[in-house]
Amino acid sequence: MPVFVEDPAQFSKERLKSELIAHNVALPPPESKKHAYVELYLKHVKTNSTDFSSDEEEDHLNGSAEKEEAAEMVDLGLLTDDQLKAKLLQYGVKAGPILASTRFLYEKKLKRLLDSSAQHKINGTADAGLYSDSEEEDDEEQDSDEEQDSESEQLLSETKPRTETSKTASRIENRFSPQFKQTESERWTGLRAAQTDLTRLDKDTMTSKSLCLTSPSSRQKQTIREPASDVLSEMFPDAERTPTGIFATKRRSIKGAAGRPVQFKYPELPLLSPTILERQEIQQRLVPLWVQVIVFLMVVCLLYIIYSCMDEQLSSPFTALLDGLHESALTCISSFTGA
Amino acid sequence: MSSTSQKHKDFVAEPMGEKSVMALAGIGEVLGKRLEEKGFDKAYVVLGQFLVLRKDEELFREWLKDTCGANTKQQGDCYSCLREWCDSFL
Repeated sequence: MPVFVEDPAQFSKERLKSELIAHNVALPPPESKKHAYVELYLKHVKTNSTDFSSDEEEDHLNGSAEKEEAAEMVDLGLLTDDQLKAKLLQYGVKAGPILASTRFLYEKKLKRLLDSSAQHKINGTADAGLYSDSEEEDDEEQDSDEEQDSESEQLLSETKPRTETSKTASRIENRFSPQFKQTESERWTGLRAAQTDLTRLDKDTMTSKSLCLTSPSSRQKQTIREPASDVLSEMFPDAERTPTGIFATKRRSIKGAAGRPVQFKYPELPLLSPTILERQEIQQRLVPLWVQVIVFLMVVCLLYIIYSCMDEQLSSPFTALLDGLHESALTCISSFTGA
Repeated sequence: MSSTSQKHKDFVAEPMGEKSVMALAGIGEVLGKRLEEKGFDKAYVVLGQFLVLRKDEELFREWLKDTCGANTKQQGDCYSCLREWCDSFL
């Protein structure tokens, strides 16, 4: 952890011990008092202040950042109103009048912006593994200002950013529902498809991730994180891309719940199936329906009359069977009576 | 989706005129007293500060916190109260 307040007297004895061990300094006897450790620490720190050992490098960097910040803080107090306003404009903040009551607020805001940009610079030279930490700090600092930045976070599957991206995913959902006012799942997937197309196009440059989730400072983060994101794409080559790495489809809202309008999956027209259409058509012709039925009955009766009046029996299996049975019965009776 | 309090509704319903700073939503006796000590004795003075900060939410919230120690909820109530008043009357 970087040490911003380098007051060894405030360190615990254990801390001093570990620092001394890290710097290869012989430890005093275990029963010695804390100030012995403090003295040794101070001595060591003084002798090492000009060296650029690997252990000290980070501290040195952070120390230089401290000095930068201290210099900036002093300058903030010395800036004129116009200069302060100009500096804020550099960061995209359009400041109002710098008055006695507002000056302090604007100075604080500028300091916060400077701190976050200084953090960026430091971590730019350090290990890639530290990126997740810096991202989180930036998010916490810029949370109120730049929600968009956190929303356009990377596709990394690291543990901590995961929880944040889940939050951002929900934020994305909330953002999209009022913006687009559509809860149909088809259009949601269509939107995601549009997003993924854009991400595929801009994969190399990583400048624009989606329709409405970009901002200039996020580009820095994205270009820095370029190498890490490819791992994920290697692992899951078939998966579609989304800005946060979270794939979520919006749940279809419960029909009629909480005053939501009832929305069907399909538009109304196909609901009228052919049978319903027929029924409607038939219902429109009430009078002709009865006429049709009567005509049908009349035709049936006519056919029966014709059939019964005909001399020849129409051949059909039933009549043939009946005739056969009739003949056999007749022969049986004649044989009985004959015998 | 937070509902607005009665105080909010009362404040937003009419021009503030000479109303005391305690008429603002989110500002009770304690906070009102602190604001008055700092010179913000009337609601319109706080309105002045709000307008000078260009109606910026973040800055106004911070200013409230620094000036009278309002918590997040109180800051939010006061901000939305003033903003709505401005939308209606400014």
